[in-house]
Amino acid sequence: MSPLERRCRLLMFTYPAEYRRERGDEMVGTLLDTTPPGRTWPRPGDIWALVIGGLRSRSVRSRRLGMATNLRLAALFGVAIYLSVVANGSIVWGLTPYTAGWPYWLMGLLIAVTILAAWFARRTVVLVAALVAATFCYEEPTLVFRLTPSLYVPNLAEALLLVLLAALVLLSGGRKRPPRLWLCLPGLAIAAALLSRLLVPAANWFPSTSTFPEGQTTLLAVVLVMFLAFVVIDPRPALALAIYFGLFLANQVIMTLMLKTPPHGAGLSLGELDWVWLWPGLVLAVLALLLVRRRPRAVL
Amino acid sequence: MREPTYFVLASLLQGPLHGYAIIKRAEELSGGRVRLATGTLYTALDRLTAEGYVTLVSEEVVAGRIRRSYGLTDGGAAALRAEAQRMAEAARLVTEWKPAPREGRLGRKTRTA
Repeated sequence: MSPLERRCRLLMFTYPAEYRRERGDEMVGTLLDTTPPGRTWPRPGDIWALVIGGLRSRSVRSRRLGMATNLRLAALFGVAIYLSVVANGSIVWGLTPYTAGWPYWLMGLLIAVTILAAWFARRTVVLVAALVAATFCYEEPTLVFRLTPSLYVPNLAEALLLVLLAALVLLSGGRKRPPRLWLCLPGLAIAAALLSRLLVPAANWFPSTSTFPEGQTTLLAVVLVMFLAFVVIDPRPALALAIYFGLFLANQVIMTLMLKTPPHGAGLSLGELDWVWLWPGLVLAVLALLLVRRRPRAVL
Repeated sequence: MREPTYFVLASLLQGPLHGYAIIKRAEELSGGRVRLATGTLYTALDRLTAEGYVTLVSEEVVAGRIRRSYGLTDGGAAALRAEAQRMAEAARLVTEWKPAPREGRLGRKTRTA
């Protein structure tokens, strides 16, 4: 394969995978024919047209699916983001000295397997993985707090969300799964969080198991910008992020109310919660919903 | 109809062509003015196929790569003719425009009288 062909194939990655399978070879052939001899890159005009064409193709594809399917996929992704942050916190906490260890990382691992199954595995596998992970999640605090049962609070929200994830896959026969590229976004956040904790272990002896990557403001800003960039191409991930913000706040409210009841009787008041995250969530949700509703134009 | 789309359809008037041949033919027909980028061509072909103006005619493997030829459908030919007609009428407004004869002194006097 010549360097030119390799670069042409690289540029083709702006198109969705199924489009590349269908048209990739043909388009690369045309690109090779139209590029003047001696060049190792296609002409700038061709590069630009490929990038724009690829992004447009992704945008049109998502809007052809219909509102119900797109909402289901966005909800699935939103729940997956929430659960992936839980898995991240749980794994890191499990690997940290002075903690109970294995129940944490096993819970994180089971959640991560369920998320991956939601993207790639058959429906029955997703259902089994979700039920196993949900059961373990619910029971996990009993393993951790066996010496101090008064601190026991079941992971009910996580267990229910795992079941919801499986239900969203089972809906409509599980035919339409989210694009693989979406996995990169929470994957990148988790990888960066894990890396930062491994590189600066002294600062992370007591990592957060919260469902929000606290103290990771820069990382969060990067992820937010990526999601906003995605809005132009495909508004569904932005809608998913809004769902994640909503789940995060809902969990905070539930936890706060639970911690106020005996035997805990402590914790934050509702006014002290991170309500600031409500606004980016609402803005993203409205913007993304407007874009998801827009039909593709047939412009000749 | 956009100009690149018009020339893609026009290039298929003589018969089915593959991607590279469409680009060369469109460039030739437009006197070198329209130089279709590969991405633009395939975006246009996708739309035109979806609209039923263009259809896949044949597939062959050349030098290990798939090469597809596209042809104009009856609907595509009709749309192209309609567009050409519209442009011709629009052009006639300008090419056949004759300035109105200047009014003489008498006429002006008559009107002001």
